[in-house]
Amino acid sequence: MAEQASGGERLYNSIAAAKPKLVTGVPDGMLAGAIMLCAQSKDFPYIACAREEECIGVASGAAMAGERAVVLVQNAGLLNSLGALATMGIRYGLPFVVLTTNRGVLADPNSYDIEKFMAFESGVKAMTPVFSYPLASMPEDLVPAAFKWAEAARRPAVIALEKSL
Amino acid sequence: MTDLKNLPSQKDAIAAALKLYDKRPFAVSDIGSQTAWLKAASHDARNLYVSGPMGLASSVALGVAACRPNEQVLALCGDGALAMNLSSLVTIQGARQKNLAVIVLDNGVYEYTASVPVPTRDLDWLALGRSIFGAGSCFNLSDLTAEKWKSIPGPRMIVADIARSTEKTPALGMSPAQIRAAFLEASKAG
Repeated sequence: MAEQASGGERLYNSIAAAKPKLVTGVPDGMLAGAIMLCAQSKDFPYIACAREEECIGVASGAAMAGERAVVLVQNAGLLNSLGALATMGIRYGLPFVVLTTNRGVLADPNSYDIEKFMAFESGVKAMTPVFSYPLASMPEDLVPAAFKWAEAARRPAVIALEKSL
Repeated sequence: MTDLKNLPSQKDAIAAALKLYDKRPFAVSDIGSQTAWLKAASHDARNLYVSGPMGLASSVALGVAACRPNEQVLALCGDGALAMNLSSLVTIQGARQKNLAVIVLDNGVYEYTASVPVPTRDLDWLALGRSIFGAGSCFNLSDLTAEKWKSIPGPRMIVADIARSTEKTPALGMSPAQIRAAFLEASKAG
């Protein structure tokens, strides 16, 4: 059964409020609603990538051109992309925003997600700060705020979106 | 099988590909020999020298092309590099990014090793490109002219058989900050 997306419209509205030049991603059940809305947007293209590492590349290209880009991926996909995040996003100081669903947290205990969560905690957070929010009740200004942080910090902003108890 | 005699160098193949365009395209090169030979062939502020993971140039180029739809963008990929990001070709076609072209520079080896063969050494890049982009959008570099290039619908792919280098690959000599600043200015200028 398809996972019921929660907070998808709220997430899309926050993304749109940041006025990105493009959004790119690989689906996760928690992101499906927002991705469908992004794909229908007339304000920016949604680039559907085959692999998450490609998303980091696409966002890096946009940021190199001085434009805002948003990446939507699951934590396992971001783990697949750490080399790109390090050698493109962090090395070149590129202020794009990565919105990643942090599967395997306390409120999301699928057995196949637990190791993803643990690897995310030990791998991604060792590389760069991660700001965590419940997807269903995330602040409306989350994505604009993430861009402001990324542009001030001159590095990607990684936001972990989670289920809550 | 390709006759390895009389093939162009990577530097000459890159120069020939750039000459297909009326206006200098943005050129996004993969880490390693593509970046080094792009700089040697045609250093320009519109070059984006990627030092990220091997193979990511095609994805980075897609991001540039999506943000600059009125400009042409050329991704320069080694055969070994593109093998690491083959799925990006499918993504580019799916995005229907008409202003983007990918050139695969095929010498059958990882150039920095001088001799270690790439897993795609027996791959028919032309057939692969045509299966993804269509028969009318993927050609051998040796079959292209500037006039023909203009008429080919994008996204496009070029297959360039090149000689294995006998020269030492030149150093890039630019920091990430320098690369980013130069490209940012050029991409804003249009």
